[in-house]
Amino acid sequence: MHSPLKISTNLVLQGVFTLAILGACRPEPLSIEIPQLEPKVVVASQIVPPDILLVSLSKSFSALTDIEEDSTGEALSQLFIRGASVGLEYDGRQDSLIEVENGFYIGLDIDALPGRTYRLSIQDTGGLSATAEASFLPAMTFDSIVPTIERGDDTLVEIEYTLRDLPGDNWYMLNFYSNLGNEDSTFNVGSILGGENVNGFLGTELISDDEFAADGSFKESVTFFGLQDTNLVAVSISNISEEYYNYLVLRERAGNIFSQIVSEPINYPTNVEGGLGFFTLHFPQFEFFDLNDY
Amino acid sequence: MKKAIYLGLSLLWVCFIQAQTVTISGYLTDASNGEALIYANVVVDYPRLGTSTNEYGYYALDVPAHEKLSLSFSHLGNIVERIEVQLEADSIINIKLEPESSTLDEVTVSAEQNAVVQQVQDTRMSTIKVQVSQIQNLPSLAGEVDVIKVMQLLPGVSKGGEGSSGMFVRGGDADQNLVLLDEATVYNLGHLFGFFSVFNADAINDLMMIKGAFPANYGGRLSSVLDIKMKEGNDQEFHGQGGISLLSSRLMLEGPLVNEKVSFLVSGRRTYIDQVFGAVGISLPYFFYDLNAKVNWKISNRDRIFVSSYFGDDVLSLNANDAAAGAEEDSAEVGDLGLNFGFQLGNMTQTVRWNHIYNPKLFSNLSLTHTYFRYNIFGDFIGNSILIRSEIRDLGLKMDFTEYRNNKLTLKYGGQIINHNFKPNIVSTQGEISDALESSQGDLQTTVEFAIYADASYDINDRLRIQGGLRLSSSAVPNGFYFGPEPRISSRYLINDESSFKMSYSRMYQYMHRVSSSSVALPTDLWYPVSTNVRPQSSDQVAIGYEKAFPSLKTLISVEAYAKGMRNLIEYREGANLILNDNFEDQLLQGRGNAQGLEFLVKRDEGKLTGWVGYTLSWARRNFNELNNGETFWAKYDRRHYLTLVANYEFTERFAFSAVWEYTSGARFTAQIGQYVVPNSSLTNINIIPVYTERNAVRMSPSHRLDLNFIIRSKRSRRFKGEWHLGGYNVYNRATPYRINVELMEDGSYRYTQPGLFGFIPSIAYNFKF
Repeated sequence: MHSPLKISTNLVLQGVFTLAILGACRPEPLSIEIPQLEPKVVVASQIVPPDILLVSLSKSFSALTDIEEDSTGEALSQLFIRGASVGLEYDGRQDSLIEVENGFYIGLDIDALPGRTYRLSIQDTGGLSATAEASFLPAMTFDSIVPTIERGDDTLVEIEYTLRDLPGDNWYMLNFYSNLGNEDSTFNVGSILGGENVNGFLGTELISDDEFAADGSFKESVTFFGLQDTNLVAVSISNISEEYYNYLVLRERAGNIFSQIVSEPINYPTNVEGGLGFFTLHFPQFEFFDLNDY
Repeated sequence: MKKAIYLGLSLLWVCFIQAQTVTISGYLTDASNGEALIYANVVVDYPRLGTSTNEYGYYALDVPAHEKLSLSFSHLGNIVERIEVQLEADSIINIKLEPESSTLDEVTVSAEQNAVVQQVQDTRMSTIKVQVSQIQNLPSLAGEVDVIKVMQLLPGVSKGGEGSSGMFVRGGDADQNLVLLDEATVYNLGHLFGFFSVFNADAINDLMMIKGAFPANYGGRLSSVLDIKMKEGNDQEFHGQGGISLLSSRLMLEGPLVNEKVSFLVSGRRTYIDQVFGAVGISLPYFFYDLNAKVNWKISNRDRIFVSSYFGDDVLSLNANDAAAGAEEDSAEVGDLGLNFGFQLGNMTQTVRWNHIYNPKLFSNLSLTHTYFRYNIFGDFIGNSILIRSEIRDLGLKMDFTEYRNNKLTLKYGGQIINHNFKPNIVSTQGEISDALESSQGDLQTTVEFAIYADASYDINDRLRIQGGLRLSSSAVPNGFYFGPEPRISSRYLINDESSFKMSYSRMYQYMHRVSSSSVALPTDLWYPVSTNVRPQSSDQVAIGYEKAFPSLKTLISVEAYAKGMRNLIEYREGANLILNDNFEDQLLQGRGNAQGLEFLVKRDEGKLTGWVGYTLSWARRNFNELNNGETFWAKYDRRHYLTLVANYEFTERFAFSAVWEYTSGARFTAQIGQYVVPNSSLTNINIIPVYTERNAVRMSPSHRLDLNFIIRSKRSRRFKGEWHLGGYNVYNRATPYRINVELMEDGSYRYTQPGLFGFIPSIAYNFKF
């Protein structure tokens, strides 16, 4: 049983505090005008085996646009650069890239000339222009790659691979895919590039050659959970430039939610003059595994 | 010839008689409580001589022997004491100054005794003392008296975000402030993520901030020294004081253990945020507390020993079952997770100090200090547990001598050694999480910081005084050694008795860094020592100033200009994550910084109206080869203009009113100004990538804020004195921007907005003394 004094003290305390809380107004946020980035050409590219250069072109847009809210895809569609004049110059040869759709352009029969510089030039009908240069890097392949499977309620797949470093300073990108959720489809490079197995993307590994042993060898294994027996697994390896490697490392570091909250914002590097993104000529080499065979 | 020799000898004898001096020395204390009066003035009217007490209340002055002298002793907040003496030999004169019974009494003092005149005549510049009593009257957030927030109102001191305890002094960084509590370093200045200071004003006797012209006895940080002295405890009577506010209560008790010989002080404070929120049905299992204690033993006229300690903690212990107790539907589910989360963060300091007087002209202080700062973050969920812990432990020994060679020359010399032990990122995991995150004892770092110094203050003539010193500092690190010569010089030229021109130069070295994201400063930011790879920070600062006293108005006007260059400042590498990362050094970058500024201060410390008007015009820049494409960028808290008006007005003995108004240019911000989409590296998805301005290129909107406080006191005649503080923070409810958001408008468009953290917050507090 409460004494009257205690009740009144509690009431007074609660009353005072409630009044203070109620009295604490939230101030009206102030507005501020910040000049927005003028639209720029955004470049992404890679070589599609055996000899196709695939280039994606789009425009940057205002920070005050929420493209993710647009369920129709209309806003995204408007960003694709259509009808641009896209040229590729290398080793005295000049090619014009062919527009496919949705801002994708392809160059056919591209000669793989390791060490040579390839210059991409873009002229948009709206007046935007950009240029970029990249070197064609020698293709990298696995020295060995073997999956092992542990079957149980769930399937655990361990992929062990070994690499042998190419001469010189090199940086490598590995991508792991499965056809999870799309077991009936034919699994091939085209389906990956067509974005069909989006749900089956398993992860990326980035390796710099200072991680290789003194004898030039590298051994690693990665483990994936939740794959069914019927799954196919694909692994690609690409020899990438140092700049692109640094860009991907930065993306990996800064992409986590903790970094986004506490770290200073980052402007990602670009090798596109007058634009954004990365012009690369990396050449992925694929290995495919049908898990039923293991 | 004989006559001539006789005459010559007679003249020499007369000269000798006239030149014969004796030394008076002693302590100045407050008559009401025995507290040492720091930088109090001792003046001989004729011949005109003077000195001031040192940081322990001791003075020494050569005066003519055999002459009748009029001595006056003065200190801000105390009544001037005048005595007539005629001395035949060295004498100890300990003086107790009565406190001014009421600030309403406008006591008339001569120009020489006036505190503002003394400040003008002092060599020190870039140094500001603020009276604790003044701080206690000023409005504060939620009624919590906060010394750090008041320091942030001084010119040259820029604050971080609203409510933050971070201080950015003259374009420096938040880790460049040496905060000393009874000579022990305090690493964490704020409770509740910095919203409240760790210093309980009830336990503080004196505080002084030095922003430049650093005396050689201070070192170890680049930008400022905040020297806080705890009270020594009343050596005559038992007294207490305390207060109750909406968020916390505090109590301080002091008194003699042996009358005028041994005294003690104990002070404690604890929040009841958890209880208050609980009372209105909100679970907030957080509280902070701090304790101060001190014992002061006057062994003899020559020896005194002080033992003091501070201990404070912030504690959060969140149990998901408790949190969900009100949400019946979810409680079982959350309870199944066994989710617990919390942290404990705090400082502890201990100081043992011995003052010894070898002879009237040689005073020494020996200090043994211990500082411990640590934080623990812990979490339990579904049979897993994780504990992350970082700690610093310092053990220091400091010996200072003050030698009063004569009235023109004072020497200070001494040495200091500090052993730093750092244990960053100790991780302990149990359960499945330990597969992903292994337990680690962290990377124990031990460094030894060592310094010797000498400093001389010399009156070249009646107008020009020069203070010059050299501090030789060093730090021993594993497999290496750093050495830093730190010359310091300052001068004062008296234009007339009431105005002076001052100049200074100081070089500083700093052998530890706080590794902090410039985006969000957290109490859990890591302190990290210099190593073979991480070099010490250093700075060079020059300042020139003009000071003018208006004795009749008891007002001082000060104008100072400064320029500072800084080297080996610390920043994160882009995208670096230091939490749970043992290999910090790879993630750190070192660069340069510079700052320039102009500071104006109009200050009045006595009378019915006290306070100050401060204005700062400043620039602060940074340059790191690996950041912002190597281009120079603005420092985060580069604030161009900062204007403060701080006023306290005593209407009557029982009613007072205080107000603080501040205007400040916005902090710097790296704003997102665009974005683009690209396929990811595996061509399986599309990434939206933001584009930002150059680092810190955007300035947020300026802010201004008015805080008010009314004080209603009980009658002074009563033994138990109480006073009510009725206050309001941000009374016209204007946002002080702390970040920039993108907000969806009603018409479907987006715009940038700058929210503020605190609006109008009324407060009520009751303070008492007995």
